[in-house]
Amino acid sequence: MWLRPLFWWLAGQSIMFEQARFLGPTESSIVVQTRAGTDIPNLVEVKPGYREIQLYGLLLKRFGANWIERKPASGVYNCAGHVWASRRTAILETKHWNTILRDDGYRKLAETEQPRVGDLVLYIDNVHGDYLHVGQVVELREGVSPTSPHVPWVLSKWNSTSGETLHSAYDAPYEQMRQEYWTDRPIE
Amino acid sequence: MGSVVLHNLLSEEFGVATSCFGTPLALYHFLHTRPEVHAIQESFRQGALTEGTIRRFVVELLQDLHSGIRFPHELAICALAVALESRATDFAEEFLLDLARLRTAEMSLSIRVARECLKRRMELPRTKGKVFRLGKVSNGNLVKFFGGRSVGSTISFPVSSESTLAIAR
Repeated sequence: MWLRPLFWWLAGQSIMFEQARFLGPTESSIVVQTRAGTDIPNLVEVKPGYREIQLYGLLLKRFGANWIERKPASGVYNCAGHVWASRRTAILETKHWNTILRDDGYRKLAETEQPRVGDLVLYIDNVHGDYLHVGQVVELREGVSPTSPHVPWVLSKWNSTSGETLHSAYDAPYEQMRQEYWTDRPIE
Repeated sequence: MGSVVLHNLLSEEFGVATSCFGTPLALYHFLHTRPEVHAIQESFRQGALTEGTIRRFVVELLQDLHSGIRFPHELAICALAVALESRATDFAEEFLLDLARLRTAEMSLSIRVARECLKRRMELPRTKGKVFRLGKVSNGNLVKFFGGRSVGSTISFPVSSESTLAIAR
């Protein structure tokens, strides 16, 4: 009973993030380098709790009518960690995505080139040019007619605590975005 | 109204809308467009939300922080960081600095969003304060409430706060 006033008194003091400080430094990372030997800072993410599992379920419900789930909600890696770090860690900073694309010899596909299995699709915010997401093309399905281009299907991990889903490259939960396809294949 | 706008940050709608971003930078920019964040900023302007309310809200949320599991209210903390980014008060500074200094894997996203906010905050105009000669001020509490400071026979206010404009009017 007496704890409640004490709690509110403490809340009024300068200890907003004291609970987090009590945990101590819990961040951990592994060695990730580009082909050129540049270190890539990363973070091994913790596992999702009830809230993240619930939100992932709602994400599937809202956007995933045509998605196919490969893996339920999990921690450890994000989308960049999925495609560039073998699902071992999360790569969170945009500038490091650029470093990897450059050092590992990726090139952007020209408008006239068709993506192939193994290529990457980057979802980019139209307003600020931020990378929203990266996924790997794992399948090419027939388009609406036999003569129309194939539709890339992508394997995605939407955030550091979501599951992995397979979806059409055009079926992503973003507004005002564009797609860029990147590959490590040489120009033909 | 103040607590309503804060509790909107815990809604499923807000959670789903903000849950698909691969980088903290993308989330940061997206949060700037969210009505929930604008509502907090507006509540501050109207005086319906106080920094004390936010402090208590944050302390209460952090009761759900547990080792080894993602902090369930990460997105709410991210939104608060963005809402406080341009607020020229000691509380906003304390909130962002304390959050950005953490090395807590359970709060990896909000820590990085706070760092982004601090980076932008540094780029804001650095004017510190301005002196207004108001003559006799009858309500000392009002001055204190708006963050004013008595300097001899004058009172100074942080120039970039909304309170300065309110008092100056």
